[in-house]
Amino acid sequence: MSDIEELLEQQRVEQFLFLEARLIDGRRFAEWEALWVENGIYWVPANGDDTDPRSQVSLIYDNRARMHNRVERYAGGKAISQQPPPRTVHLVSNVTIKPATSEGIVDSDVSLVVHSTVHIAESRPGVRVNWAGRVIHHLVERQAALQIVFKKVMLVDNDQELTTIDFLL
Amino acid sequence: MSEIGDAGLSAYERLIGADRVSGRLYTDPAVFEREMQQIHHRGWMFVGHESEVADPGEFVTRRLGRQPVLLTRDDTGAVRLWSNRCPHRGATVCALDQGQTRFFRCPYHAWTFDNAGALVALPGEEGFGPTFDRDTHGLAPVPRMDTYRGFVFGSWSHEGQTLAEHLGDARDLIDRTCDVSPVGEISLRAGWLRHRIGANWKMAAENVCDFYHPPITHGSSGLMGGVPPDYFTDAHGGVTRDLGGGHGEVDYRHTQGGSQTGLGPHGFIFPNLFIEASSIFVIHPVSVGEMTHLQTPITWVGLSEEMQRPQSRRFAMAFGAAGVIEPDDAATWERMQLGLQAGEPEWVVLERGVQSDHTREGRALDEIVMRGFWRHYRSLMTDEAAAR
Repeated sequence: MSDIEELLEQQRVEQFLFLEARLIDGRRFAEWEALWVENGIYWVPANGDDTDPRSQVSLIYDNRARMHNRVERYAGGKAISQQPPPRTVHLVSNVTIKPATSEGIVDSDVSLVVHSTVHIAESRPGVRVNWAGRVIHHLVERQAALQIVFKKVMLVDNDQELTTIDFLL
Repeated sequence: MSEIGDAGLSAYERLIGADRVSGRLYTDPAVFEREMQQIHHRGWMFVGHESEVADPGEFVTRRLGRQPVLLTRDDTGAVRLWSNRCPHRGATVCALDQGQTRFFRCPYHAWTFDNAGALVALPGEEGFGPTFDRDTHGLAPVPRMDTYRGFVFGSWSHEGQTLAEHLGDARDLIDRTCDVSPVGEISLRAGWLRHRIGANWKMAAENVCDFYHPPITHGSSGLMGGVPPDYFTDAHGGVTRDLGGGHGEVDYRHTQGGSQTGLGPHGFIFPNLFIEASSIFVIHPVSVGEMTHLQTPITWVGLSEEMQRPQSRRFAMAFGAAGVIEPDDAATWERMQLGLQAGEPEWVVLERGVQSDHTREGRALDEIVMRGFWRHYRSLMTDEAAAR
């Protein structure tokens, strides 16, 4: 890949992550869901970054059905914790792209592994919380567009007592 | 408004009625201080499970009331419970949530303790003189520790009821939890989700046996699909049961289809343990307006994967700070904490089904367990022997 191609690829991936952040902060849940492949996994580990989600508790370990249930609840207007909904701003930074093969990933459904950091300002009545974490996206190229296969958010304080997280990270 | 605190024990007699309690009990810092003294730093409280320290050297750190404790299994295999505090100058000897070690070393002067609590090394010991006795400078055990079927309880009081007396009829809740396993054993090794909530601890305690709220509070969760539409009604036939001692349960075993929220019982063991059918919750009071809710799924030893897996799935979706059930409970309790800042009306009303209290059993949605909670609470808060 030439330098120019690398720059363009970096730009394309960053714009994709920014788009995801914009959809989350704008509560455009259907469009956010459309970023995902059918067998996507959205994972927010607890008590460390490298736990086994099958045997250890996680804050979030969603397949697509659960993601749908989650955002349906956010959008449904019935959840007490969404009255009013929390407002969020995602700041995405430190975006680094790695070929899937360089990360030892053999899943042919993954084209790119993207490391980034996120800082989230959350506001709800009487509460202001700053969240921060490292993020890994596994992305796949489908019909010239990127889609999310796997997203892991490693909150810096995932081993501490946490207040309610009733929004997408 | 004057503070209640311990300014006259009779104040609690007035503030806790048979079918109503004063809202001030959730908002007055002096009440919270008295609760610590009369309840959490005195009586029996759940602290952890033996399976969390299954192997020699394993440890977990917890709070017992507001005080830091260290649950260990020593090299002989005995489970022990210590103040997490160096007997020298007071630093915690362990900063981790869990792990495995033979020794705990204080970071300040390197006093080092083995996992049976004994002081085994300290720098410059000779400087303390010939009369220095290591044996009187070990880790301080929590005054009383006892277990029932692997559930570990501690008490900061040297005397008082035995654990068996404290549990009373609530032992049945633990028995039924364990007996879901073909070998009668549970394991809690999946780690805990720890959720900080801006509300008084008693709201979580009372909520355990409140089957009036789920279809409303949790109507958005998508998890109500699994139960019949009339499940959370009196007509379905579930029973609320005051087990005495502040304990209670909601029992659906005899109804059509039995309990449909999980495999084990659904009940509360005073003052901090909630057995939630397929998980264990612990209520940690932090301050008058703050608590931490700890949650972990139960693994039943020897239970088939097919039986176990749906329970783990439900836990993953429902609980913790980012679940689809827990945030709505937390938001409700936070709204209560805000609303109760209004001093009028004075009372929180717990009237539902009060006419059947003498039988200790009510309909599924009755508030009988809450009234039992408060009756026991009142007896502890007005116990002058302890107040001295």
